[in-house]
Amino acid sequence: MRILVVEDEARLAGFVRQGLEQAGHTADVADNGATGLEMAATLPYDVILLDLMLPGQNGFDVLRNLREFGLATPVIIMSALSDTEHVIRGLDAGAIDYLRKPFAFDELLARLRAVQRKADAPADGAVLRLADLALDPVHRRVTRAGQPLRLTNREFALLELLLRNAGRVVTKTRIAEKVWEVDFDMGSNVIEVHLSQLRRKLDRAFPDLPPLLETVVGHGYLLRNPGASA
Amino acid sequence: MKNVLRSLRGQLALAFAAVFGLVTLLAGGYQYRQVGRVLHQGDDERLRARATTLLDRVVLDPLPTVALPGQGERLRVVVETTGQPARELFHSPGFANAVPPAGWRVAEVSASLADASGQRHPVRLWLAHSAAPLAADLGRVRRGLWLALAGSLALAAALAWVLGGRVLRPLRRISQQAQRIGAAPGEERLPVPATGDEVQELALTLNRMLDRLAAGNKLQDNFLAAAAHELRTPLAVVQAGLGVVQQAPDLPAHLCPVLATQLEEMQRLSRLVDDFLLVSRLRADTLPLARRPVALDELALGVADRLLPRFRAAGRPLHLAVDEQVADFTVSADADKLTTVLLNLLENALRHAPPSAAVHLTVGREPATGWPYAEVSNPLRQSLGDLSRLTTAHYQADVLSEGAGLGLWISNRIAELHGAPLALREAENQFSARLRLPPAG
Repeated sequence: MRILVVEDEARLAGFVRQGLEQAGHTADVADNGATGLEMAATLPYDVILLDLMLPGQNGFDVLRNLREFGLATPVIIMSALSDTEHVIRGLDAGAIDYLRKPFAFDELLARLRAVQRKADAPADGAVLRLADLALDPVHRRVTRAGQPLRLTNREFALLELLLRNAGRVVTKTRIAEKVWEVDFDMGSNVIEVHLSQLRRKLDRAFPDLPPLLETVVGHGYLLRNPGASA
Repeated sequence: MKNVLRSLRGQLALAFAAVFGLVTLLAGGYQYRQVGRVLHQGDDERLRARATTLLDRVVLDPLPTVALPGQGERLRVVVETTGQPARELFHSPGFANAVPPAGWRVAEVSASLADASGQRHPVRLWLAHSAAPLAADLGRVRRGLWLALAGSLALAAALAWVLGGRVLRPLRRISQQAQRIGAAPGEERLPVPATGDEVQELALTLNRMLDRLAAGNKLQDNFLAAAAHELRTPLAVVQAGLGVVQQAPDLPAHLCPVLATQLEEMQRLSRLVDDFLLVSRLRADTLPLARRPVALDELALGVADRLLPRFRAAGRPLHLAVDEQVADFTVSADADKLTTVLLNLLENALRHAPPSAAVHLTVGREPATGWPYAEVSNPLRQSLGDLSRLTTAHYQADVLSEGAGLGLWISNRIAELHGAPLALREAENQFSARLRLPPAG
């Protein structure tokens, strides 16, 4: 991805650029809001990492001007301002994510991967369906029988994994690898609890509909279309 | 009662009563003596007049005749003749020698009377009557005086109590307001009565002291807040730098654990800085709460997710449980602040649980109140003692363990701001901390 880093702290900007390039991205740095705005308007960036406390135009101004110029480039705010009110203000202004300083570089890369996934997803035909269940990975929407479900990120990732493997048993090890990105025993019943939460929203919230999520004791979990022949 | 007597008002009432009582006692004693003297004189005069009347009725010619005493009187009449022993004309039973029995008063009168031969003889008459009526009169006076003393004592105490209450009312208001202000004075000040007296001066002096304390606290809080903000940027630089180096493909393998440790310490330092900022705001009561509907179960599971790697590294199982009977765990809360609380509670459990002991995170709903809760519980290596001290600022349960001991204090304050303090419990070597929140709506 081509990434613009708008950050006035030169050393931080330098490390971020180095890390991004190391991870295979292309990164440019602007040390103030006006330059950042100018670069964003002239070059096609996939994502902008934007500090809030900038000399001249602050980050909120830059974000507002970007949107007024008609630039829809995804913006991730990274700021030392950690209050909820700042986070809300930033997201309301059009940022897709908010990273509080100091942050783990891994976390920044993970959030960029999420942006990448969204960008790479085909605009149409990507909706995953099973019976009356529909999951739209691009817009992160899930509905059952036409009713929207509000899922956490983990629950969404779990459901997406199960849907992509509908009718097949997905083991706990695979879930840990794909959803938690760990390849070891997690030393916790976290997967069971998240699946229980998912079952509550997916099946128990619709007592009149047949359940979709099944536990295969000793093996794992699967999503089964109740209308399909066994 | 002890406190009442120690209070200024009580002491004032006591002093008033003592002074009034003493004055009344002295005045009463003097009056009693005067009244006693008058009553004695009156009694003496009545007895003497009666004796004179009886003496007037004594005749020696032609034969000695004596008027008999009335009921309750005792009489003795003696005629003296020169050169002969005195001749007793009459004596009442038990009054032979003119000495009155105990409880009797006596009067003596004498006159010179002529006998049949015309010779005059001195006649002496003693009349006695009971002293009981006089003693009864004196008793009534005494009782009246004691009643007056008691009445004046009660009146003085009541008067002093009322007056003391009125005089000390401004002081009480100052005291109540001072209690409300607590350890960290904000904009509130003590009421200043326009009395122009020492109480007004005291209130003004205390307010000036509160101004100085508030200014000092504000300076300290501003410093902490500014320092926390300022520290974030260099921390971000170092953490990003370490993160980038850690990602480097040509990083020698032996440096990986060193970098991982450095990163972990950096994260700990970051949390400490966040704690300092929170402390400064909590102390100054300026922590904003962005309340929104929050699903407590989802938030708790999210926090557990974040800490899973650390639990695994420490070799401690983290067991999660969400009550499946509860359909909705929505609370009105600041999700970020609740995250801080649960992170603190889980990190505490991580620190204080014995090696390999499981930590439990339970989300449920209290049957009595209907409030959703999230509870972290873990076995203990040793008893924590007085649990109330755990939520005292800067107290650290185990001085040899890591952390500055701020976590529980911060968590408790945040919990209080959301509606209820943390419920801490230690039983059978098991510690639990419960965050309870009022349901949304």
